[in-house]
Amino acid sequence: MGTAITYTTEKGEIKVADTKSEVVSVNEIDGVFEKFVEEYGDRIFNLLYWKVGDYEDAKDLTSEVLLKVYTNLPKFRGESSLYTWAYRIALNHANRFLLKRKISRFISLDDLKVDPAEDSNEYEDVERTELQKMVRDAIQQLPSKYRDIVILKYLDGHGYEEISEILKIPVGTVKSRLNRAREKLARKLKGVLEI
Amino acid sequence: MKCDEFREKLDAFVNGNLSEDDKKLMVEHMNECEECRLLYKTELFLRKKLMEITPNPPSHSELIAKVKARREKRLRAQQMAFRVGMAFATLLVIAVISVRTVFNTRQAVSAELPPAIVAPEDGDVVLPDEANIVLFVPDPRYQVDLKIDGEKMDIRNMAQTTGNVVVTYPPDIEPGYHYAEIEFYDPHNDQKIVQSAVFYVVGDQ
Ligand SMILES: [Zn+2]
Repeated sequence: MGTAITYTTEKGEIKVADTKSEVVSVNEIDGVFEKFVEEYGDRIFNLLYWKVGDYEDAKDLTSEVLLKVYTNLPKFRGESSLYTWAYRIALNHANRFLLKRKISRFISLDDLKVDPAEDSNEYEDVERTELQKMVRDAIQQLPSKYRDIVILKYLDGHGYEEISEILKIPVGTVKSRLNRAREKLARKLKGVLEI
Repeated sequence: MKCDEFREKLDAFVNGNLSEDDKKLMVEHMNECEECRLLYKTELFLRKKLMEITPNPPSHSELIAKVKARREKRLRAQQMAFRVGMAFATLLVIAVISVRTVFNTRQAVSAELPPAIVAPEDGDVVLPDEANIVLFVPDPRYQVDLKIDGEKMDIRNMAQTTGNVVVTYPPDIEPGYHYAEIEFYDPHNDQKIVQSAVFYVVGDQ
């Protein structure tokens, strides 16, 4: 407790006092970061993939989120678990991305860009099956607040309480949103599920 | 059992957390209600298949390399801005010492790197609390005025700054299109230069 630590960041040296985290020390930030990527990199990518529905976008966003994690790691105070903290960064970042994407598609020249899902062969490998595409589209069409819960529950296996903590919404809301999300998805996936 | 109750208890049912009686009622309802049956199938599908059909994530080394590249790019941009500033400071000292004359803006201010709006670019979509307006100021002696929609912004704090200057948007900026404009005097051509960028501010979601 109370050890002063110095990090070198883009803004120069920043002194922080250690709180709960054991891992931090002057030269260890890169090491901590690499461990973080080992442990949570895949989960953050998966979250972002289902959130934005595009492999390359998810990859870019993952590196942006990880850069945020890297730069903010010295400020992390251990109020929540490291993962919950990073998860919120990722969700916020993805929400911003989606909002911008939605609006720039609506107002600008981005329409001219070819939709990667329709175009390249490269993606064929990544998104092998029709089923994958169907599910991806169904989840993409969910309103963001439902999508977040679907991702947290079915991809990450969180329970109601954890989801409520991560999203900072009441458990009752988690439940009702989950029910709505399931109904919407059921309607969209009906064809696959009834075979 | 009614549909509402079925839906309420579905999660616990799939988790195996219901009493035997409840389980029986759930199954009975499923057999007679097509809609709820579909919900049950959806629940199972999502639990079992979502992870399975997630594409393989990129390798960790690729991710770390990407993050490092981004970080270095940012650092280089900052260092560049700083070096440009230092070069001008040196020029200034030389000019004052050797020529011993009143400082002449015309010679000391570079023509190659005039002030500029770095961000936003034309057509950018921005969030009002996001990275804001970034101006590049190669030399603090440029008198740069910044206006948003024709309203002059207070940028006195940047009077001594060289490099990238971040100016926050007015707190009450409305969603919709706006334009940022800088105006400065170009001593090489003895004229005022105006540069502008049109951007779109996103409202709250
Ligand atoms: Zn029913």
